[in-house]
Amino acid sequence: MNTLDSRFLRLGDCFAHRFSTPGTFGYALSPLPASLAAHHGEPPALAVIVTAADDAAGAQRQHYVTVSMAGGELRARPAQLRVTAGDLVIWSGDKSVTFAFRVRGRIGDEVIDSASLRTESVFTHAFGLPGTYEWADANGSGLRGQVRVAMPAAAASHEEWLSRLEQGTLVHVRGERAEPESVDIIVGQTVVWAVEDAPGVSITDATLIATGAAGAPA
Amino acid sequence: MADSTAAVDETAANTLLHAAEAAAGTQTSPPGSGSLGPFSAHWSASASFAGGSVSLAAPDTVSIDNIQVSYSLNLSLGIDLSFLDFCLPQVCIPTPFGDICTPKICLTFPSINVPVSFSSSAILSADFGINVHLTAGTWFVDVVIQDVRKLDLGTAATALLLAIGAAIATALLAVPFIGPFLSLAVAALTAAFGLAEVTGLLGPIVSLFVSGLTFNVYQHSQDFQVLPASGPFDPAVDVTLVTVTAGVQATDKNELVLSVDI
Repeated sequence: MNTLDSRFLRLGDCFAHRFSTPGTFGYALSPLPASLAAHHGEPPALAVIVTAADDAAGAQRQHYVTVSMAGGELRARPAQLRVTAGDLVIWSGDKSVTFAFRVRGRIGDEVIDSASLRTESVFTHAFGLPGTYEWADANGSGLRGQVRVAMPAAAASHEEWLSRLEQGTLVHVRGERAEPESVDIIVGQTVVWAVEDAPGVSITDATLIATGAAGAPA
Repeated sequence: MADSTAAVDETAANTLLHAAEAAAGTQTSPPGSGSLGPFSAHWSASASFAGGSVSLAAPDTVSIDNIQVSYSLNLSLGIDLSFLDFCLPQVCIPTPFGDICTPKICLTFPSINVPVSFSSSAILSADFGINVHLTAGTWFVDVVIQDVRKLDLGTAATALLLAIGAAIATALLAVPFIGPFLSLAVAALTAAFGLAEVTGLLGPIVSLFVSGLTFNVYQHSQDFQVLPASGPFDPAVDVTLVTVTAGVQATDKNELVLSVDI
């Protein structure tokens, strides 16, 4: 529980993507780390249908997809979602998802994968334990950073602590650089990684990444 | 009239007792379970005995005062943390892709097992009876507990209460999102039980080692050789202990008397 690893979304994590172009994002959910094949030639069971933006449509909207476990299978609610180009879709698990899951699919030629974050994807993680977390890209790029998590001040009341949890911290991911590279938060707060122009990265606790020679990911 | 008689006074009986305690070594009880307030408790324990002073009372009572019962306890408490369940609030933050708001995420805390290791000692005063028996060709003279006059746990229950509180705090530190709740959680959990509940758990565990407590103070083979052979016409001489009896006799002083018929 509470492991920092965007490859495996757990309770307290969110994966989001901004769908900028019309089309149908057919996707699957999987508890497995192996790659998921997109469903070719058959209607996807899970889909985000992106319609062209209408100038009259108004501001960007946010849509939520809740992932749950029922009958031994991962389910998305809603299974079929209609959005307008430019809208954000956020996936998160509920309490029934006791392990981890992955979102992967295709819209046109673009692969969208929560385990390999690309442009216009967002990963969020709420940190439950104090400590210094060195994170890196398990997919092999040089991207890395640090999150320092402190306990709230002893003098802070429970209500003060809960109100501080509403404050998130943003990290921009541009290529192989995280900006800022190091952030400070308190236990319970959320860090949001916004991936701009990246080739498919993960945000993974460095202790989980096997290293080869000279400390490079294996 | 017995063929042979041996007697030990209270001083010698103390020596026999202390040797018997050392010979008995550390005894281990089978695992057990109980409760501590609202929490389940599983435990294993071991104990050893030392010290004490013997006084003899006719016809067959061996009183032993102030035996030190040294015990070690491995306790595992099952604690339900669901009373701490709470929800992470929605987090809204501007990003290059527009403002993003996470959903409210409700967390449930698991039940945990808290291990507690604890060692202490108790003081036992009891009356023992004398049991003489022949088993597998050996005569045994045992003193067997009959009446516990005092089992004093001392301050052990208080110390165990503190040890449990510390173990709970340590176990909770490893549970995500508990940290800011920690003092509240520990206070709430330790308020669920007090000294009486700890004594109620500890007393019966220690009593398990006391119930049926037996010290072997004498043993001898029923058959044994008193003289070796010293030639073809002078065979070995063997003796058989036909009966052995033991009791306390009051003469000028109280003595534990062993009588043997051969």
